[in-house]
Parts: sequence; C-alpha cells; structure tokens
Amino acid sequence: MTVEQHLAAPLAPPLAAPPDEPPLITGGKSAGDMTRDVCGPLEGKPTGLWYAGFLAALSALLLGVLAVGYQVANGIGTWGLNRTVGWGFDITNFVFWVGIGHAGTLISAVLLLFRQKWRTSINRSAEAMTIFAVICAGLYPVIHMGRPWLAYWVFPYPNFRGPLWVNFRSALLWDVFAIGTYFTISLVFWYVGMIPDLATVRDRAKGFRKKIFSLLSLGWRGTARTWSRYEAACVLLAALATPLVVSVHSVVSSDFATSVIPGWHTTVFPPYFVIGAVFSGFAMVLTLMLVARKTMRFEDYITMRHIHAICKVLVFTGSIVALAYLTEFFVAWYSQSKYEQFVFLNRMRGPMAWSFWIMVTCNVISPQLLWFRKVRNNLLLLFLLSLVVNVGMWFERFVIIVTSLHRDFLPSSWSGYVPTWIEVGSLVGGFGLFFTLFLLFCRYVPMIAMFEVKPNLERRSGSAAAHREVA
Amino acid sequence: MSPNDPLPPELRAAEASLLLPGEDTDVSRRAFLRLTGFGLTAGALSSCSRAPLRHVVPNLLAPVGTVAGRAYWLATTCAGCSAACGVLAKCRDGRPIKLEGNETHALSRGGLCAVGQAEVLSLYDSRRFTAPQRATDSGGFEATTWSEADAFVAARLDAARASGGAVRLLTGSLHGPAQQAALEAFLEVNPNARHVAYDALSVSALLDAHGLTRGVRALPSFRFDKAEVIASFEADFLGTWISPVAFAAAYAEGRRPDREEGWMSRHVQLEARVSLTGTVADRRLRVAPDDVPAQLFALCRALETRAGAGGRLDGEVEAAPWVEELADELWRARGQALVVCGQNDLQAQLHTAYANELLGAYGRTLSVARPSNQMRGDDRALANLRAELEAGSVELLITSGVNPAYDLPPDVVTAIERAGTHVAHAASLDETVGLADLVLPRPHALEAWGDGEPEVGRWSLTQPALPALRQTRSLARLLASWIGDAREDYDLLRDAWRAHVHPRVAAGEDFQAFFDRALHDGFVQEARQPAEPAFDGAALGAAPTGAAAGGLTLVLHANLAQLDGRHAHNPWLQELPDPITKVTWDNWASLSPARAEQLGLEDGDLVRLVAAEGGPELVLPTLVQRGQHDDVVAVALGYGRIGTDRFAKVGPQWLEGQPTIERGETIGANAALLSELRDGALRHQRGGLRVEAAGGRVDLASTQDHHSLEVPPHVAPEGGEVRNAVRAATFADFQHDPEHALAHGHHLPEAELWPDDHANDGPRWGMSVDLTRCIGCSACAVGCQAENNVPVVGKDEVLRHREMSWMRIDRYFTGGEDDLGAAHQPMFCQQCDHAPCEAVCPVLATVHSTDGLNQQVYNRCVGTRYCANTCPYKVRRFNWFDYPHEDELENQALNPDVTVRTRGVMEKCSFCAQRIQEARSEAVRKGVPLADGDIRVACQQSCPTRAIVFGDLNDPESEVSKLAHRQRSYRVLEELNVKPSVHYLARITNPPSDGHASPEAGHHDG
Repeated sequence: MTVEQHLAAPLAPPLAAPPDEPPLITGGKSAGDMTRDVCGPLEGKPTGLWYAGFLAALSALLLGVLAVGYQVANGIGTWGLNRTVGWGFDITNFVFWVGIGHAGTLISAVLLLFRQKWRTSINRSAEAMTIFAVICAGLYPVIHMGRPWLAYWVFPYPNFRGPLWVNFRSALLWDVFAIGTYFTISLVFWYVGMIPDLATVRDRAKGFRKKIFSLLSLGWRGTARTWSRYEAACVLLAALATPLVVSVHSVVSSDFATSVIPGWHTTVFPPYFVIGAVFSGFAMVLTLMLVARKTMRFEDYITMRHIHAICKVLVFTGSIVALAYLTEFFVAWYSQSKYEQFVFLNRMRGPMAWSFWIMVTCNVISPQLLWFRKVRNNLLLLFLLSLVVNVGMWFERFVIIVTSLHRDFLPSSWSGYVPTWIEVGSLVGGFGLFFTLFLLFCRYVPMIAMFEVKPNLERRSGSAAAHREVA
Repeated sequence: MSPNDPLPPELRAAEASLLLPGEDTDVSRRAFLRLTGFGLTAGALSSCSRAPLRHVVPNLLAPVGTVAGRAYWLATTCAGCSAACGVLAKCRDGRPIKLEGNETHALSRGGLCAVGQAEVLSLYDSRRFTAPQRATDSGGFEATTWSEADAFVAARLDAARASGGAVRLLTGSLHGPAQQAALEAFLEVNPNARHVAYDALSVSALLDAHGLTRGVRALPSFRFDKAEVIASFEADFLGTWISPVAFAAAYAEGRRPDREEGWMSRHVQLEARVSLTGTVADRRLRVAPDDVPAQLFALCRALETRAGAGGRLDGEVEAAPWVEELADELWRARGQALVVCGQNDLQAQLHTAYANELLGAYGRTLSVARPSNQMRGDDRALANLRAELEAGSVELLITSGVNPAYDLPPDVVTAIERAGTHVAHAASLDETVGLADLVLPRPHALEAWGDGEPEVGRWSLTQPALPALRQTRSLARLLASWIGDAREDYDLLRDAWRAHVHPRVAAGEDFQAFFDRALHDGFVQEARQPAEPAFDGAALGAAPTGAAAGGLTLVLHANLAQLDGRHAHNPWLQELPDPITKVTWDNWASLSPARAEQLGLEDGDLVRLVAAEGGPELVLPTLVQRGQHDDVVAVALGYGRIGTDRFAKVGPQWLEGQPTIERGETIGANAALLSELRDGALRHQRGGLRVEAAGGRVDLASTQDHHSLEVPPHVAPEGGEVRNAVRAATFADFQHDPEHALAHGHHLPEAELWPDDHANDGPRWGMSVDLTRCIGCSACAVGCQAENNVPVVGKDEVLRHREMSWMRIDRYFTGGEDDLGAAHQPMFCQQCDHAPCEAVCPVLATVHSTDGLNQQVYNRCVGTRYCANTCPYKVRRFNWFDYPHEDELENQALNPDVTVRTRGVMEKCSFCAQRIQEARSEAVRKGVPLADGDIRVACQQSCPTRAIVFGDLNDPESEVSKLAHRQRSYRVLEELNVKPSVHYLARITNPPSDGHASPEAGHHDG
C-alpha cells in the first residue's frame, strides 16, 4: 500500500466482527443513541459517584500539595533518602507514571496504524491517561531536585553564563527531551483526535458552553474535505507518536543503564522498561475502563470484547516482563561479575527481599491468571488484578532503584531506606492529581471517540458516511 | 540605612524632584526612563544590604607581615589534653580558624589528633563564662567583677593563713616553667596550702612503680620508634593513652614493610575490651583484665629464666599458654623490645617495669632519664585530699582546669561539697562549678600566654592567637595576683623562661633573640642527656592474687573523642564516629557477642549496670562488640556531661526530626560514677558487676552498619564472599613474594576504547594512603571538617545515614573473636579520571579540571543526587537541609576560603582545592615552580602517622608518584576502570608466623 493509498483508506473500515468474538459494541445502539450516551453526561449534573470520587481525588491531591510544599520549603531531608540511597519514592514515581503513559500512545498510535478496531472505544481515555500520567511523571523530577526553583537549568536555553550549556552525556538530560517530546506529541495527538467530537458537543451545547466548545472545535464543519485532511493528519501524528512508544521508556531506562551501579548497569533495560511500561499502562487502562464503564454506564461501548483484548495484551506483556526478569538473572550469572550477582541475591534474600517478592508475585504470577476465561469474565477479579499489576510495576521500579543502591560496592556505606510520611504524601498526591484530572476529563470532554466508534456500530441502516452525517 | 527602608532620604528627595517639574500630569518619556532607572537602582541598593555592617575599623597600623585575606601562622601548644602537642594556629583576619600540627615539634612531629583539631571550635564556644560568677543563696550564679572576686579570694586566703586552715589547690597535670614558678611562689607565701594534681585518666601507678624501682616518681618517656617488638597490656597508646599523637608518629616509624625501607615492628596487644590500638596490632589476644597483673608476673618469670636472672619474684601464678611464646618474641628482640601496660595498678606496673628492665629496654625504648611530664597526677595525694575533705579540714579548695565533681568517684564528689569555700577556675559551666562558691573564668589556650614542658628539658610556648574573647585569667596569673604579684601572663612567662629555660638551652644567646626564636618555633629543647637512674628491684615480690569477685568485670575506658569528658561541649567531637564502633552522640555498654546472647541483649537494648548493691548504677544502651572478652562490660568515660542538652537542636528541625538529646538530659551517661579511688589508685575497672536488662531501647547512631568486608553469607555469590576494598598480607608473605601475596582481583588491560578525553599535561593531583600506617585515629576526619566547613547534623540525621563528613574512615573488622583486628580505610572522593558522577550531571555541576580534579560547582548544582547514586565509593554528601549556622561566635571558626553550602546542593572532598590554589598563587607570586610538598591538604597535615601523601602523579619524582608505584599500591575498585586518583598501599601486618602467641593459644581465658 502506498502512502497515498494508506492515507486515503478509511480510518476504521467497517469490518464485521469475527464470528467467534462477541460484538465490539452491544445494545443495538444507533449513532444517535451513542451521541446522547456520550454527550449526555457532559450536559447534566454529575452522579454522586463522580462527586465522591472527585472529592477523594482532590483530597489526595491536597495532601500531595501540602507534602510537596513542605518538602520544597524545608529540603529533601524531609524524605527518607540518605547518603547511599539518593533516589527513592521520587524517581520510582517518575518511572511508574511514565510507564503508565505508554499504553495510551500504544493504543492510539500503534493500534491505529495496525487498524485494530477495538481500540476505538478506549483510545480517547487511554490518551487522556497518557497526558495526565506524563504530567504526574514530569512533576517528580522537578520536586526531587534539591533546588527545584532552578529546574529550568536543565534546558539548553541561550544564557549569559558563559554561555553555560547542559551536559548532553547525562541520561537525565535525555529524559528532559524525551518527556518533553512525548508530552507535546501526546497532547497534540489527543487534541486533534478530539476535534470532531468537540464539534458534536458544540452542536448540542447552548450559551457559554457553546462558545467554549466553538473555540475548541476550531470551526469544524465535517465536510468530506475536512474529513479527508483530518484523517491524513491523524495518521501522520500516529506515525510521529509511534516511535515514542519505544523511545521514551528506553531513554528513561538509560538513567539506570548508563550508570556504573550493579543492578542499574544493565543492557537489557531499554526493551525491559518498554514492555514493562506497556504492561503497567494496559493495567491502568483496564482499571480506568472498568471504573468508567460502570460509573458512566458505558457497558455497551466498552464491552467484554475490549476487556478481553486488554487482558490478552496484559498476559502477553506480563510474560515478556517475566522473561526480562529471568534475562536479568541470567546475565548476572553469566557475567561472572560478583557485584552483579550479589545484587540479585541481595534482592531475593537481602533486607529488602520483601519488595522483590511483591514485585514477582504481582508482575509474574498474577497476570498468568488471565489465561483463564473465567478470570477474564469476572470483572471484580479483573479490577483487583489490574490494581495488583500496578502495585507490582511500582515495586519493580522501587526494587531497581532502591535495592541496587542500598548495598553497592563498599560495605561501609550500605544502608537501608525508610520513606517518611512526607514522601508517602507525595506518592498519594501523584495519584490525587492523576484522578482529579481524569475525573475532570470524564466530566467535560467526550470520553469515547464517538466518530471513531460509530462506524463500528452494528449497522441498522445506511453506511458509515451516513452515520457521520447524523453526528 | 535600615534594610526595611526601601529608599534613603536623599534618593527619596531625588525622586520627588523628578516628580515635581511643571508638566507633573504628563510624564515625558525621558522622565519616565529616569524615574524607572532611579527606582531600579534604589530597589537594587536597598535590597543589597542584607545585614547592617558593624564595627568596620581599619587597621591603622597593620600588624607586621599580615595581609588581609591571607593566613598567618602562630606556633603554640595544644591544650586539648595534657600531652601538649605542638601546633600552628592558622589565623585569618585576626582570628584562628584552624590548628595544625607543628612539624618541627620533637614529640608530636606534625600530627594533631581529632581533639586537637577540634580545639579551635571550643575557643568559640558561646557558653564560656564572660565574667567571674558568685554563687547566690538560691543556688544560682550572678556575675561579679574581677576586683570583687580577687577580694573574695584574698580574704579567704588571709583567713586561712591566719588560722592555719588548709588550702588545697586541685589541678590537672601542670608543667611549664611559668606555671611552676607561679605555683611555687604561691605555696611559699601560703605554707598552709598544698597542690594536688590528678589525671582523670590516671596513670598514677605507672609513676609510682618508677618511684619504687628507680627512686624517681616519674612517667617514662616511651620510644615506640625504637621498639621492634611491642607488647601492650590494655594500653591504648595509639588512641587515648598519655600522648597518642607522639606515640602514633613514633609507632609508624616501625611500620615500613616495603623493600625500599625494609623493617616492620611486631605489636602484640593483650586486652579485654577492643581498643583502637588493639585493632591495628599484629596480634590481638583477649585477656581478662583481672588476669593482667598475674600474666605480667608470669611474663617476668619467663623473661627471668631467659635472662638467667632470678630471685626477685616470689610465688606462682597460672601462666597463660601464650606467655612463653610472647617471652620468646620479646627476648629475641631484647634491647629493642617494649612492654607497656595501661592498667592503673601498682602490681601490674611494677612487673611491667621489671619486664622492661629484664629486656634492657630502659634507655632504649623507654626512658626515665628524661621523663615525661604529660601525666603527673598522684592518686595517693588525691586520696589524702579526699580524707582531708571528709574530715572537713579543708578551708579553701581551689579547683583549676579540672572537673572532679564529674570525673572522680562519687565519694570524692561528696567530699568536695564539704570544703569550707570552693573556688572553681573553669571555662564554662560544669559539674564542679555547680558546687563552687566563686567561679573564675579560665581562658582558652588560644587566647592566653602559657607554656609547657611535656618532657623534661623540652619546652613549648603557648601564645594568644586573638585578643581574649572573655574576661578570663590564667592560673599562673591568678596565683601571682593572690600573693600580690601584679605581673601579667606575658611578664610571668618571660621571667620564668629567663630564669629556667634560657640558661639550659642557649645560655650564651641574647635572651630576647632566644625568646623570639622560641616563640617562632613554639618549641625548644636542651642538649644535655641525663643518665638513666639505676633499677632497684626491692619492691618486687609477691605474685598478684587474682581478684575473683564473681560476676562480670566493668572496664571504664577513655573514648578517643571525649577523653575524660572535657570536650563534651564540642559538637565536632560528639559527632565524630567512635573509631571502633562508628557510633556518634552516645556512650554505651559493650558486651561480647556470646555474653550478649546469654543475657538476651541486642544492640540498643538498655541495660542496667550495678557495681555494688545500693551504689550508683548506670543505664546504657547495649552494643555488641565482637572480639571483646566475654567477662567484660566496657563503657566509655566522658559522657553524661551536664549541659549537653544544648545540642538538642544541633541538627535540622523538621516535622519528623528527632532532637539529638531531650532537654534536661545528657548525652550518654557518666561512667565515672562507677569508678573507685581505692588502694591509692583511681580504678577504672571493677569486678562483681551485675548486668540486667533495663527494658526499652535506644537507637545508637552509627555511621557504618556493616562491619566487615565479608558479604553476608546468604547473599554472597560464589567467589564473591569478600569484597576487595582492602588488600592485606602478612609481612612474611609480602617479603617472600609481594606479587602473590597481594594478588587480589585481576590485572586490568591498559588499552582504552576512547582516547583520553581530558589529557592533562600539567600536574595531576593524586593521593596515596598507607593502610599499614593508618591507625584509624580520625584526626583527618576532624581536620577535614574544620578546613572545609563541614556542618554538624545531629544524632537523628546520623541515624538516617545523612552525616556530612567528606572524609570518613571505613573500618572493616578482620579475624574472629580471638584474634580480632581491623583495617581502617580513609575514604573520600577518589577524584576519578573517568568519574561516573561527571557523566550523569545534567547541568554540568561536576566537571573535570585540567589538573585532574573532580570539581563540584555548588552554585550550578540543582541537586538531582544522580552523581551521588552513581558514585561507587559513596563519598558524595548532599545538603538535605540548611544546617543551622545561627551561633555567630561559632561561625568565627569557619574557613573563609571555603563556601558554606546551602541546602539542596551536592558536596564532597575537593582535595582541598583552596589549598592547591593558594600554593599555586604563592608560587606564581614568587615566580618559582610549584615544588612537591608545597601543597599539604588538611587530612594529610593532621595525620600523626603520615599515612596520607598528596602530590602530583604526573611528576615521576614526587613522593606520591613513587608511592603509587610501590608493589603494594592499588586503587579501590580499580576493576570498574573509573581511574581513581587515590592510591592505597596494602595493609601489611606482622603477626608471629610460627605459632607464637597465636589465637588458638589465647583460649584459656575465654
């Protein structure tokens, strides 16, 4: 297929579901039903459940603001770090949130290019998740600095101090570029992907909301020419975003892989981190989707087929993660480096072995349960499993960072690490920020990409084009 | 101009005049710009004045040779303990900021211990008395004047003289002609007065033993440099015993294993507790403290047999299996052997003296011909004083420079309360001052004239390095003034030196020239060599009877930083890790692992120590110390000083931060409460101790959690059981085959993937650290702290592993319970050529200099801590908080050449970059090239054993280059190819190789 052909092909060609698969969208929804179902929540008052969730998220965020405020005012000493363990919750949270972001890009860009239809119901939320996760991720490297008010020094901007440049050899600097690029592209992609739906909301809205959405939808009119160009733009953006799925976490893994510390100095880290990121991201997508379809009554749009698809991705990536762990151990043994071997024995049996075993239980054993259809159909169990995977993935980063640092080369410097409450507050605050943003997203923006899903509706009349006109 | 006032009046007027011109409603562009300019300038000016300037008075006549901003040095004497080491006070802008050893001093030879290094901070102690104090009826003190204080003392002295009532002057060991002259004059005028000297860490029995065997009660001077075999019974001569700096310097002379130099002494330590000296010994054996006199007796017996002498010893003891072998070792080296004993026990000291006599040691490895004055205390006189006090016959008690109410047994303290009138001459509030009727402020040695005579015929001068900070008077001046002699210290000193020193040192020379020279050098000595007095064995005789009191034996010992407790108010010393346990900010009861297990105690569990039922008891946290004798509980003296709760807020204050000490409590507990003044000696050891769990626990703040190079077995990979940070071999193996003896790890290929990315054609600074010479005394650590403005962080931060020390001593125990040793490894930034830290800093805050230094740029650092994480040596220190610097007086001790770091930035050893720069500028100024040895970094300077050498690795002729090419030179973690610039010389020990005094033989006592 030439580029022209590719661009000219419909974005989501209507395909009949394979006979053995349940339908993607259930409930015999029409396009009009869908518009009402998706836009309705934005127009009425939110449910009590939404308020409860928002209050909880906002409280967590407030706690985080207080914790971070106290820490910025007093110093990094308010965290439990020490001369040996220089990073703890801060960078663990950073890597965790960057990882979460990955699923969004994978779903929206990679699956778009691979023309996976099932992504359409969840890609909007997944992308939103990416944006919010990257915002959370970006906060931690800033607040983890001893002097966060000078954080802008990591940017290579023209200056009068020499000019004083930045260190292009430092993996932390690569992070700055990687995360910056990732955030920018994800934001643009997300926004561009929303324009037709924003126009739908605009068309239904009145008064002040209409003005806002008019502005946001950039005068979308839905003509054939607009659609044609729009789709081309989407494919281009998807192509731009796709390498980021691989590059961002590879760069993040370089923070560790390029250093000299045993347990960090590991060549398998880039693919290991990428697959871990996709794994954790999909787990987070599963968590969010299970909550959203329940609270927003989207059961017909986010169906068991979507959930099964996510589960399959989870069991696949989870197995690769397990393989990555095994590879790490193998390389440690094969390297014959005593320091390297020690790190892994120490992870398994040392004073912080508990964190290692949490990681193994959550990331290696628990996703294997998803081989069973019964498990995949049990939504409560799935919800718990999705949480467990994310706990595991958080601990994976904790294990890599803390257990490698706390006992390195010279036994005289070996120490432990116990987080303070201030640090726990900053962790909780990250989740608070994430869920606050996500709940606001549910409330103010169409959560499901209506124009993408509509072609997938079971056709009762007309063609995909007709649906678009109805929209 | 007050900082709150945004505009000074004149600027305000200028501003008004700008506003007033005719077109006031229509501001022109020019007027606007002018106004803006003024506004900005005024704002900038007003915000510039951070603090008001005070007392800026220029030197109308600059002191000769001083240049503002450049340091000058004054030779003086350290008063940190009674050893009186020679020091140079580094002064800047009229105040001392650092003390360094005086390299021309015959005894201390340029080293200075941790306590000496910290003395400069004690000078700026804001709690020192500002004026004399008189006790009030309510139990407090009120300030009074010197004239009133003089009148008070004069009245009491007159009354006592008239009534014949006893006047007693209680001091530490006094030496120095001026002090002696003043004292003698005072005693002459007051025949009813007597002087009693005591040392809290008494060696009185050692002096008594020589009184009995040599006819002269004197402390021998020891010559460890002449000793080929050293047998030390419980004497911590490298850490705390008598004069550790001088001893360590001399001891190091015998630690030269390299072929180039050639010989090595053999040091056997026999002790119950683990002392610093014991850990560096070639063989350390555990001996019960009660058994020491008996084994010394047995040793004398064995030596008598070998010498063919006999008849002086009476009775039998059960000799330990190692005695014969030790006797062989000593006998083989007779004439170059030395036996020392740290117990304050007459029997033990008599037999030590006899053993040395049999070995022909007198006149060679120790001498009473030119005895030491460093400890002159007389416990018998102290016991007499106690009796007099108890009888209520002392009318006037004057204590000067001592704290008997703290460091003597409780019965002496009770007795002191019965003195008619008690005048305390003290620097700051202490336990003794609390009992006094009148307090006379005592100057710090750095602000007064004084002198010392640490060894007979060797004199040193003390000169003020700044005008007295307080209204203080020295003891000599007080004594003179009380007998109507109005001379000031300087005149007292000159007159005494004219009379006593000048004729003996330089009789032909003009006195002024002589005095100037003495003042410049800080030290003079006479050439005359007196003869050794003859030995008289009449006092020898009966075998010691082992006092089997049952229970455990309590051993009270000095701690390297606190000694007898006089430095308890010095935060540097409180935070200095104990060299054996690495614990800071506390003392503890140490038990052997077996004993702790038997009692069910773990580190930190509180225990109650009861020496006598109904008597005082101590409650202390347990510390399990491997290598300690099972029947011993060891407790450090010098803790539990009143007023140490001043350090409650010494560290950062924050939500979860714990105070270093609760208000009203003391740091540690005073172990002197369990000491005894018995049988004419101050006893720091007693049997019959009962130990019981007291319930509860206290966390001991240790800077090191893992105590050996052995990886815990359950996490040790095969072949990786022991880390190779310290390379070690025995002297015999090393002599035989150096390559093989030290073949740890692999030889690295020299090939590089990348060409050198920072070649340096000029100097490349490097260091060499000799682990054979390093004794772990930690002088370098405090020297570094003083030089580089390293903050004190408090106990809680140490517990959180956030101590800030740039220089630490890693201590790795070796051997088992019966032959414990330790490698002491100074560890600091290794200034790697391929520094991992430099690659990872995103903002280039740590970069490589052209002379091979790894530089930390504080004002560029944003504090990611990435560099610290990736440092294989973990020597980088992060400013977790803004550490308190509120005490303005204490801030005077800060080195103006070194930035005080703010919070959020990384710091680390800089190889004393400021010293390198200073030496360079000096060389440029003089137009000469920088010579090897021109730069002496702080740790190197303070090292008593000269284990640290700094210099240019690119200069093949420099000392450091030569050392770096020695066979036993290696670099820590060199297999990482980070190319550190610090070379370590492997630790060589010289244990008896053929089973002599082997650990297996040491079991009998355990």
